[in-house]
Amino acid sequence: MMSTDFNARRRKLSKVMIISEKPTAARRIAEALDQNGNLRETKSKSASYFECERNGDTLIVAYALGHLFELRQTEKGWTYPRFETEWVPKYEVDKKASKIEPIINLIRKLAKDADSFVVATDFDIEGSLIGYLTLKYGCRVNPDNAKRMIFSTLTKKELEHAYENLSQQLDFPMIEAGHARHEIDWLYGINLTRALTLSVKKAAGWFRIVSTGRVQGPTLAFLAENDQKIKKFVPIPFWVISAKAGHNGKELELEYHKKRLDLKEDAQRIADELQGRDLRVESILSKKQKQTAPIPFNLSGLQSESYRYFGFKPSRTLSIAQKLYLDALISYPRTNSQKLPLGIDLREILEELRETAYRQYAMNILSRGIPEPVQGPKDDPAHPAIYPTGKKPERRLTPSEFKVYDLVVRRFLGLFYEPSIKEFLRANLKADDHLFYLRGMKIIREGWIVVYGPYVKNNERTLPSIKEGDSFKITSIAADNRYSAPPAHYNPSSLLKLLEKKGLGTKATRASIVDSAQSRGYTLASSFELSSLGYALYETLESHVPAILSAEFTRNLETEMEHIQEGTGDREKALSLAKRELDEILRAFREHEDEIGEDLVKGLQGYWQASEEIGPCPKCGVGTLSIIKSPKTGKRFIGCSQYKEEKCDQTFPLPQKGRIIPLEKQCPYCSHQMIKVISSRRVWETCINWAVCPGRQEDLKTLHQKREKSSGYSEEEEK
Amino acid sequence: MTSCIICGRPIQEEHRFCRYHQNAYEELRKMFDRWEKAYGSMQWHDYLEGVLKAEGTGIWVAEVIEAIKKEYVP
Repeated sequence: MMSTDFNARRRKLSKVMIISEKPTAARRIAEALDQNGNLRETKSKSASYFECERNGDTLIVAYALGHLFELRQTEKGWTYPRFETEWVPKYEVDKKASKIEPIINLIRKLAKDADSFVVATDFDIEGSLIGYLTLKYGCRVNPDNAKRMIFSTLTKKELEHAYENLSQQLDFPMIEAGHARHEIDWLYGINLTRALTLSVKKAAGWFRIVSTGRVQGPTLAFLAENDQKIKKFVPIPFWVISAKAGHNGKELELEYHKKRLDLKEDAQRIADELQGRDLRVESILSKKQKQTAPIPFNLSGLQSESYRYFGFKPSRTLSIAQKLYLDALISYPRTNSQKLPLGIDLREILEELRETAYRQYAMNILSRGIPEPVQGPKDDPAHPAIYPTGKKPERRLTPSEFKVYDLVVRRFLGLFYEPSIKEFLRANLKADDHLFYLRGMKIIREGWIVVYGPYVKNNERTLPSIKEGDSFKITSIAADNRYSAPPAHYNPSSLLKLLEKKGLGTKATRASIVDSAQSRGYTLASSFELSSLGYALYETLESHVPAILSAEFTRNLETEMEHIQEGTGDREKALSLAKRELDEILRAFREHEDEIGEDLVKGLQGYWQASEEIGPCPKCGVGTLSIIKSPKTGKRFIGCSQYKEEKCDQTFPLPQKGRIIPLEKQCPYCSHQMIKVISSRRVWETCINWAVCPGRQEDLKTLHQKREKSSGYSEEEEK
Repeated sequence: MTSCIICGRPIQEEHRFCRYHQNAYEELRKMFDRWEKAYGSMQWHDYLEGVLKAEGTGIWVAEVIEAIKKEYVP
């Protein structure tokens, strides 16, 4: 009934203002809804909007640039505690957000002439909050009267359907949850970071931002706990029997039935007993195993697979997936779902994919009447699992974009294929009580591997042609000493998975939390090994304000926020709980401010020293080489600490751009210390002697040639 | 002595090292039995050499061993 009333009223109205989240999305929405082939983009200063006609109405499609409004403290002063906030235009709190002002001004102007409002931002807590705040503070209208477009892809068909079937009101539980999350994260991030930074300022007089936050604290604790396990690890020795045996002129590696032997004596005795002995094939066992296709991707699944195969950090995968979504090539990526619901027109997607490079697979599925796709256990009420729209790319995808796209398409197509069947063979070879295995594996039916093959490790191993009763002669056997391995350092993918498992952060925020551990210097750049600064912060918080590091503490807040999203919680209640607990933390902090400051200063000094020190000076052997910035030219170089006493004049040039990280290894050509250079474009390793190192002259020559070519400059021309 | 001879952090009460190196030292002591059993018999000194050479030994454990070795140099 409501819908009919609204549609009837809308028909009488002339201007419908649609708020989208980004310019690309706004264009796609306008293109999809335009019925008269008369789409216009009107520019106003550095902002613009799209205009088209539909059902006799004029549609004005305006866009935000993510969040247009941010929280700001109502009381002045860069101090803590600050608990009261207000929403203000983002450019008022972030000087870099200068593009926002013309957009807000344009939205405000357009809203004056609009008769009704539709929010068409991403359907998740961030998107819903962006739409709400834009209506309330940008358009200055009552959000209660606005409608909602809900879609998971930016295809014409889905956008038209979303517009013709508008939700009659905004998704207020989602907005409230977004609101609560922003406010709580602001309170924790701002107050704790200020407390840490001001303690350093008080202790040493420096102003150096030392940041932490509601989820960053527990993340630091996870990293520290794992790092400690690795650093205090004592390996335990064990032994493995390594044996080879000859059969029909071939030498084959055998596997002893006990994978590890804890006592050296036992291992040696077995090796001695079996020296030169014959083994008899006692039995050959075969086991067939069905393996269904991997389940549909949710965001963390895609990030994990993308890291495994391409080495892309979760944040990079998310950013690429977001671009593919805006190009209408894949569905909305910020989803928890591992299911493809019935509402998705699978036939249409497959028919579209039939016209692409994936033709053979799409045809195969269509010819089999589109079997039921494999589904995963997790669901998300807002969006389905990630799937391709079937649309052909309108532009040439970058190699990275193509990789992620191919992964999504192949995973999707594989869902309709039969399970693969593998046959595992095991020959049991015996001599007295000693049993050895000879293993083989072959794929009987490829099934989904046909399409997802590029992302599957092929472990196929042929078992030689043998039969029961055959004899093998041991040609070599030894008891090899091995050691138990320490736990692995986290990588971006495993840390993200841990945060997900512990219920910390959201699918949209976890990738940036993972990045921030490295970008803030709390871990070493090459791994997630804790830096001296990371340890200083961890130890300080642990001894004075351990609640900041507690996952349990912040999980209560996460639960409160989940309840709000489900419509069973209350934002004010969650906020007052957060303020109360934060107040306690800040009081404890204030009491120990001097000790905290002193501890952090020590940590910072150690960190700076470690990140600038390269190693011992190869010339004088007494001084230490470190990175120095010339006060005259501002350029950096490596110099010896004995320079000031005029005892050593050793220097090495350095690349002027990028972060320099000393490595614990020597150049294979000249034996000088190696360094890693991390610039925005690439990461590379070289030695400090690179300018004259005999092993690097070819590379330098090529680099010069490249530079000359790209700048159109050559020495000949200069002459 | 109030600070760890290895890293300069404050030492734990009644302990020889800071909390991290003390933990590593205790872990080292705890694992001696396992090594002794695995090899049949073993001297403490040989154990320390073995752990130092083994792949995967934690950096704090290695630092503790170096410190112990220095202490016992005649």
